[in-house]
Amino acid sequence: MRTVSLRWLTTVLLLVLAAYFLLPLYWLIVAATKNTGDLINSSPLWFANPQLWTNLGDLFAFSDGIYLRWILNSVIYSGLGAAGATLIAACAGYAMAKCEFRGREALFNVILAGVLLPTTAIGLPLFLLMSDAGLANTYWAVLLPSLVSPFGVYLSRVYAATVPDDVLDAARADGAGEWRIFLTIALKIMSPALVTIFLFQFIGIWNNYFLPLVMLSDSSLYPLTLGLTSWQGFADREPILQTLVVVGSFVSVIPLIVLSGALQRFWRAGLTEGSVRE
Amino acid sequence: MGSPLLSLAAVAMLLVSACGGGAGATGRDPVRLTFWAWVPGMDKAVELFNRTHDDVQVTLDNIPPGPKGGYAKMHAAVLAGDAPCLAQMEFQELPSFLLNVELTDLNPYLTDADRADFQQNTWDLVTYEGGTYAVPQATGPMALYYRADLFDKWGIEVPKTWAEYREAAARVREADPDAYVTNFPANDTSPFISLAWQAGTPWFDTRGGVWNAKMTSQETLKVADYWQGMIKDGLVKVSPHFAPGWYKDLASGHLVAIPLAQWAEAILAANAPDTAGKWRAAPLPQWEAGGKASASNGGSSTALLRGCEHPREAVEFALWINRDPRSVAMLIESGYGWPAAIDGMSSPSLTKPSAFLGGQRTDQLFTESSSQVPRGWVWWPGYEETRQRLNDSFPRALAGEGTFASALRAAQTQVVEQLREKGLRAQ
Repeated sequence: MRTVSLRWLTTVLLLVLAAYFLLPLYWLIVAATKNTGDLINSSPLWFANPQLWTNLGDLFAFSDGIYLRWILNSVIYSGLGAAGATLIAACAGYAMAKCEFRGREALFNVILAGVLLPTTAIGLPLFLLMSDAGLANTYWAVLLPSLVSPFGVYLSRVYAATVPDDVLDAARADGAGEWRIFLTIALKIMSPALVTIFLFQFIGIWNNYFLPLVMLSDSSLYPLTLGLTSWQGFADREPILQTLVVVGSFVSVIPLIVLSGALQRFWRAGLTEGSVRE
Repeated sequence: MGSPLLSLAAVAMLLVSACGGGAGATGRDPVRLTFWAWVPGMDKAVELFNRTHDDVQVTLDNIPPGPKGGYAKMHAAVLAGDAPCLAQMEFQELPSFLLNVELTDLNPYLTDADRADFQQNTWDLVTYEGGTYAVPQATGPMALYYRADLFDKWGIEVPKTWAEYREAAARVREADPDAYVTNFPANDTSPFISLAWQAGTPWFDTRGGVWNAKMTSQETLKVADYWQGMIKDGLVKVSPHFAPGWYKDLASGHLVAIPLAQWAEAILAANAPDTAGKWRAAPLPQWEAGGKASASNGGSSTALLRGCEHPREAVEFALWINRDPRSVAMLIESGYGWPAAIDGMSSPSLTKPSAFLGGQRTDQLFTESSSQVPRGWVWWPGYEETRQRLNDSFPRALAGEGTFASALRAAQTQVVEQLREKGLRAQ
């Protein structure tokens, strides 16, 4: 009896929370179907003269289709950045868990401190570095800083520690090299962590505003965040942009939803797996 | 400037001269400049400049608006020594850049003839301690935009003083319970600051080389009490300007007489198209009957950032873009504001009747409004922080925590402290 009511309570609480988190998304979907007049004048939570296809057509046609370019840029920054960051974090985390070397803990603590630093705070110093290297206002200016994920190193180390030493010793006894052990055994066991790192990093880069803001001034290099904000700056005078910013925001969250959905299976399995340490 | 940029410029120059343009004829490669801006229509004006000039070619980068990160980007670029020559800059932002020595003094490159082409009160806004730090572009002389049809229907006279405005506000509430005379954007105090400007005592002066804060003068407190009283008595709606809800209120006739800058007309017309023809513009209400004081809200200039290698050419461009009749006409069309250039004020785009205002011609109104903006207003370093602080404390005052007046006092104490921390003399 007691557990049943507790279960109900939990369900209701979760439903309320789900509604709370999904409401903005619902609004975005509804708003993306409206024309500029209805965006302002119709009820915010219900459809009015839906015209999603017209809006999408306008979105991709505006200013010679620069929106497509921004999507491509965001995919490049987030995809390459997250993939590179995951690989580097996996190497570093594995090395810190399984290789004995002097200063290991000190190094790890420094990296941990990096988790605490907000990316916005290091945007400016990074820009000065990139500018000195002559890389400001290029793809590299956003890509290179995106390859670093202190949180990823931390998580990798935790997961790499769960790789049994016996397995590694057995592999060594069979004559496998360290790289081969890392690539074929360790990476496999660490894969839930890697999916998490990839996802976090991808979303982080996708939503990043300040770093690309200081790094880039050529609008053909902009990611979506920067592009949509620059449109918003004109929206008072060109009201069609109010619609396009909303539709553009809607389209911009689709890759995140797809990615989270596709990777969720690994992720969930991974979290429970990691919680049981042998 | 980093070497990749130089080589890029070199390649671009080669391409240009390969086209066999005028550059070859003069035997000189054009000077290439970069311009960061976010003003709509600027792309067309820059294109025209490039078409009509052989010796200077300008690349426009559309960056996010200054307050949304554009200024942060400029500070970073100057710090890195990688800044563009030219940048869009609102008047109130100049002192903050100046304090970090991030601007170039234009005095060596300006002639008296250049100066005579722009209104003197706009030069005042870009001049600090004898240096001229930008070419004025546009200002925001204010007027009262009101719904003539509703005023007629309800039998309300267009208010000439703020006292009459308050009476009109009460009449509007009686006539339509859903309608207000105007809204008060408590979380964006920029319009309030402009209305305080109209009242006569600038918030700062620099007499004796000291930043003297006067944010709590009798005149400013009068404005603060006036609006707080209107809100308390339910005569004014508290809501932000230039937001979806605001456009909705405009379109549905629920806001009927709003003090706004001239550039706002384009925004009203774009966002409340169904009310076209029903609006009119009248002079801003006065504190004293028969008074002639206006105010300016917003306004921009073209500044030269530190490290510009071709200041002469950059100034040539900055003057052209803000003075050439064709350029000014394009910028007016996209609603950049009231031209700082004297000839600009008689541009055909401004003298033609406005369809949105039912055929009213407003060039005379705004020429006067512009000339009646009280002189002596000085923007101070850290304006943005001051505004943000008021944006936080005004809504708190409306929630019962203090008053507008106490918010102004607290903000003044803070800004003086800040100026001192920056090594300036302030009191």
